[in-house]
Amino acid sequence: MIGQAFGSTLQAARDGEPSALEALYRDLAPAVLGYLRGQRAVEPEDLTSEVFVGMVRGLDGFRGDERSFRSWLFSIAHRRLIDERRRLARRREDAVDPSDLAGRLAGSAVGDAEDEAVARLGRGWAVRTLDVLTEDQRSVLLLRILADLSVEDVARLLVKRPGAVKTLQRRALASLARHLERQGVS
Amino acid sequence: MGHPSDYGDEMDRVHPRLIDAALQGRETGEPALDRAARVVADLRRVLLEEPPSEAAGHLDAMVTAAADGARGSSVLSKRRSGRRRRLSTLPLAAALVLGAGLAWGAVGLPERATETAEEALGAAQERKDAFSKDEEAAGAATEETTHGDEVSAVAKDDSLKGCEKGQAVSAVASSKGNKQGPVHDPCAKGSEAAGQDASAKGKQTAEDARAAAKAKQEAKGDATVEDHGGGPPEGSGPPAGAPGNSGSSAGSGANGNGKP
Repeated sequence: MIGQAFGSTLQAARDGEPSALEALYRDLAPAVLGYLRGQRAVEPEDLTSEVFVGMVRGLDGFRGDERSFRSWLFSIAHRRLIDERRRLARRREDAVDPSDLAGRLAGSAVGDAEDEAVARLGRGWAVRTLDVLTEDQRSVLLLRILADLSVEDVARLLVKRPGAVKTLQRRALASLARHLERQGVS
Repeated sequence: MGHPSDYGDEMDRVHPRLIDAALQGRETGEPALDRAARVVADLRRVLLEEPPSEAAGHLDAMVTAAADGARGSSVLSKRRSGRRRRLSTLPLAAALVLGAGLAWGAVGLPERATETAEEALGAAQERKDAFSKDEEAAGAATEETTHGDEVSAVAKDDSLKGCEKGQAVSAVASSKGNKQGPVHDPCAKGSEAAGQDASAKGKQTAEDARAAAKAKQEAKGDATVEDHGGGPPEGSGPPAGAPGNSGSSAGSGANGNGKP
C-alpha cells in the first residue's frame, strides 16, 4: 500500500511522471500478476502489461481513494482476463499454463511423479489446487486473498450480490478443505 | 457445474470472522478451515512473491501510454472543440442571418432597428448559451479556444461585409463576457449615407414619374396634367411606406418594414 502519499502519487501519475507510474506498478503489479497466474492466464506477463497500460489510459477518469483504485485496477485485470479467454475461445486454442504443460510433459505418470514435476515449478501445487473450484469461486477467492478486496468490492467487480460472494467464498474454502482431505493432507 | 462439498454445511455454520481469518491464511481452530487456510497461505506466498520478470518492459509501455495519452487527449480536445463548433454553428448562423437582416433593415430607423436587432441577437445568444452549457461542463479548458474560434469564424465569414460584419463579430466577441456597455451602432453612419442615397433615388423616381405623366397628358392633350402626377413633392424624399416607392431597395428598407 502506498498510504498517505497515494493522492500525490496518483496526481503525478496522471501527469505522466515516470517515477509515480513506477510506484503504482511496484505496489500493485505482483498482485495483478498473481491474480492472472492464479486464473491460469496463458500469457500472464503480457496481460499484466496490458492491465497497467489500461490503467495509465484510464487515470484521468478515475476518482477515489487507494482502496477504490485497487478495486478499479483489478476490474481492468478481470476484464482483460475475460477478453483473453474469449479470444482464445474464438481461436479454439487450448489455454495451457506453463506449469500445467510441465505437468503434462511429465506424462500421464502416476500422481507422485506428476506432483514432483509440478512442485519443481514452485507455485504448481497451490495453483493446481484451485482447479477444484468453480470459475466464480476461484475469482472470488483470488480477489479476496491476492487483491485484498472487500466482499462489497468483489461483488461490484463480479456484478454479484455481496451475499452471493460470501457464499462463494465459503464454498471455495469448503472445496479446498475437502480436496486436501482426499489428498491425505491433514 | 458444481463441486459438491462435504464441508458446505459445516462452513455455513462457521463465523464470518473465521472465514476472514482463513482467507488471510491464519489458523482458525477449525480443522477443515485450517486446511483451507494453509492452501490460502501457500497461494499468497507463491503468487505474490514472484515479481513480474518483464517489469522494465511493462514500465516502458506505461510511460509510452502516458505520453500517447497526453497526445491523445490533445486530439480529443480538438475533436470536442470541433464538435462544440458544429453544435454552436446553427444558433450562431441564425443569429448572424437575423442580425444581418435587421442591420439591413435599420437603414431608415437606425435607433429602433438597432435595438430590435440587439434584442433578437441577445435572444439568439441566450439560446446559444443555453445550448452549449452542457458542453461547457465537458471542459472549461477548451472554452477560451472555442470562443476565440467562434469569433474567428465570424470574422472569416465572407457572407457579411462592412459594418454588418463588424457588428456580428462584435456581438459574438462580447457575448462571452455579457458586457452591458453603451450600445454602439457601427452602421449608423452608413445608414445615414444610405438614407441620403435612397432619398436621391426617390427624387429621381418622382421626377421620372412626373415627366412620364406629363408626356402622357401632353399626348392626350389634357390641360389638367398638373393634378395627376402621383409623385411626391419635389425634394420630400420617399415617405415611409408610400406607394410607388418600391422601386428602390434602399427605400424599401428605409420604411422600417424590415422587422421580422
